[in-house]
Amino acid sequence: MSTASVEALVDGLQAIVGPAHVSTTPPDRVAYARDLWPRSQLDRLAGEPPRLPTAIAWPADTAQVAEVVALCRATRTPIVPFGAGSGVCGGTLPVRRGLVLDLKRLRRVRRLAAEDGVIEVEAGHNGERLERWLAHRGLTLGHFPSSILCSTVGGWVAARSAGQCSSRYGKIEDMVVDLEVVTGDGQVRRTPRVDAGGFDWNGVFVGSEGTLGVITSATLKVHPEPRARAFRGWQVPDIQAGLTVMRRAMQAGLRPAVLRLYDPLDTLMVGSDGDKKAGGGPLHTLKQGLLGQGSGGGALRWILSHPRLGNGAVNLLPAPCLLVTVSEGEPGEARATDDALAAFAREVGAKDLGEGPGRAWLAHRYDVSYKQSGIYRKGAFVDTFEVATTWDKVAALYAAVREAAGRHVLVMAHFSHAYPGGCSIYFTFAGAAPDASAMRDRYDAAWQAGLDTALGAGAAIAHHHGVGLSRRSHMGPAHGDARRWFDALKATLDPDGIMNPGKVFGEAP
Amino acid sequence: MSWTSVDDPQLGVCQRADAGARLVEPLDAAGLAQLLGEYRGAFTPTVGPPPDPGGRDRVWVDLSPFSGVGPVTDGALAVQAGGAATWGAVEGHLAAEGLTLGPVPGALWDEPLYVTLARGARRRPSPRFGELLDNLLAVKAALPGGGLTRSAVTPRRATGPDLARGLLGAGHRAGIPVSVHLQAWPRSPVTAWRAVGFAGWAEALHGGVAALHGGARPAWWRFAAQGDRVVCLAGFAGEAGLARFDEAMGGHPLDPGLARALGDEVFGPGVAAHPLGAAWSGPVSEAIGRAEVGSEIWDLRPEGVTVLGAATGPDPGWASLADAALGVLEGGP
Repeated sequence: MSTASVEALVDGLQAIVGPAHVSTTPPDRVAYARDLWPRSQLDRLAGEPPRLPTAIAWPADTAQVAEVVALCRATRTPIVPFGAGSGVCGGTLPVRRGLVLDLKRLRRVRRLAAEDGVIEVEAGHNGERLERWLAHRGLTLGHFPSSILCSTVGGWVAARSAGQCSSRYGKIEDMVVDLEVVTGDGQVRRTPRVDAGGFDWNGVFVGSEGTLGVITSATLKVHPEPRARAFRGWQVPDIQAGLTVMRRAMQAGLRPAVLRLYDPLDTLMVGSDGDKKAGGGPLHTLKQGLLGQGSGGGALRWILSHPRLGNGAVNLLPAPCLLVTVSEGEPGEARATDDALAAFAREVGAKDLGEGPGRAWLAHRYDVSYKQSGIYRKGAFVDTFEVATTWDKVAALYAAVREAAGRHVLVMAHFSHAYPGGCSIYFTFAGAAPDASAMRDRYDAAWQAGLDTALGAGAAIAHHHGVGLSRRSHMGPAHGDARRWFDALKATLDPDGIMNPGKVFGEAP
Repeated sequence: MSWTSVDDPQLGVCQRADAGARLVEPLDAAGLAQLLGEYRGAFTPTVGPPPDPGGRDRVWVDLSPFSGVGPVTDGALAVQAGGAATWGAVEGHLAAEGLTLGPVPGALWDEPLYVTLARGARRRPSPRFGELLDNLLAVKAALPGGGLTRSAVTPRRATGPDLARGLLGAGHRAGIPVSVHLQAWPRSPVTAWRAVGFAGWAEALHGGVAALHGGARPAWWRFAAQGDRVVCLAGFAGEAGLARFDEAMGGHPLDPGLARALGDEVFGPGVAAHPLGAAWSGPVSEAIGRAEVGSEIWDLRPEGVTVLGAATGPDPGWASLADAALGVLEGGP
């Protein structure tokens, strides 16, 4: 944009949201040029400067959002809706510069109708604060993503988030009753209730990552806080045995809050008591490094620079795995669910480890967020990659991704977010290379191998982290000609193409 | 009405009725996509020759080749069915393998899947098995203007906007489903029946919500006014929270035979014969007032109720937006 155009844009923004709520300062522009996509960290290490937004604005309400969208439409300014920046796929990076629209001032609870089991909350409301607010009223949303401390309601909806208790409460798309959206044409719209029948507009906006409009509020289902919880850890003979327990539980109609199966390496990392107390030696070094702790990076870099060796050693690990279960609800349901899970576990020869692993998981469940940056200072990288598939393909997909990505990085995984038809596989991978450029090549090769393998296996190439930039290349093959549907919706709702351009499917052909 | 085979220059070999309407039968999904891509006019899907072909310019596309059912994926229990298969045919196929879709509303039993998807009908009164279209794992459809959508057969369509869902409730203009994957379940016999009486709708609905929060998951249930009381009838497949239902529901226990008599075909076409279109959906608090004059609650969830006999039409604003998007999809502005 020319200087005059920028000045006109800023003047217009200031008139709408007030001068105090618009910024073009370098620190703000740098801060809003990033999210938690690890690839961006590698770009910085390689000396590649971020693409900065032209400006940042903090609207106070839906009316201001609509005015800002209208202004941007008139000036052909790209808009990137922004929650709390916890995305890990580059979905909020301003690749076409333009305006970052930070929604954190839209943080009111508009309506709580406990009798009707719903809450309407604005998009910028922080997740952890919302859960605390509900807990004071004896309620819960049941949505506990690991990013809950640094994410917002709008971000959850836009990126199709899943919480750790999704097997009981569902993913965010299962929680949405209706949405308020400012579409790219500047109109404020409320979607029909999810049970209205007909065209499923909620299904279109959930997961659209700001490419069709700005989600400004969401009506979500709420539940009574569980009065009882039953924690349990099981040592299952192997991965397949653990998957069998998960599958049978979900197909029997049970609704455990948590079913979480760790593969052999992740089991060792977590510790058999679930309390992250791995012993010394290479495993300790690896674990400290992945958590961004410990001193000295030489040993860590060596381990991660030899992924074939590392993954080969993992293949020699004992097969037994840790399965953590949490059952909750009214006391009768929690007890009945725990008993039924125990019966399924015993049928596959699992050993009861007691409450410890489940309680330890609960205590540490948000530890990962914010703790990745340390590893980059040691000359290595770490990222996660989640996919979903049906039960008949889970074990084979796990093995295939380990094989394909394992040529480039050390790979471990856990299995969670279980459904009657299948589950998610959550891979964690880490690697190292002699310099930043080589690290980036290795990182890209691992992602490419993982996505190609998932796509080839007929799996969903994401489960809850979204698409952003990291999966964009595989969206066309994943959806076939359904992309034309997206383009038709985009042309209707965002006729000037200003909403988060370049994301999800990329630019229209 | 008789049909005569002709070689239509635009449609290839097709049948023409005496009135001039044409009926074309694609060989497979690729053929259907090609047909939709090359012929610029509108098609009306049908299964077999329609009894009334309509006017001269009507072109019917016969989806009979997409009526097959099976196989069922081991482990995942995902059943593949052609878009023209009926719900009853799918359920019959599953029953032979000891599986079920869960209760299928009687009004849908003989309806082809593509029709249900085009209408976006998703409700059913089954806390145990969930809503009908929540059990939809994947859809493959031929689009207007040609091309085939693709979606992975997964427990959650989790990548970006749910484009498969974009086909639901959009009518036949949005595309024609040729293949569908649905979640099947192990078929547990209905082992327990309950009938509970309440003094009014408010007590009945609040009791039902309390039972759901308590963990009760009936395989099906229905709430209906009978004289000066409201009766809830429920059937349980497997345990599924029966004890919590008894604890939380409140009301006055009635003879379970009332439920057994109405629900012994819970996995057959007898679960409900009501047309799903004539219904109102909304919050529990608003439903109480509506149900006072209505006769039956079709579905009850903590966050909403569907009341039969109180229909509301689609929101006109959203309907026009859908029309606009469909226009773009069909090659318009």
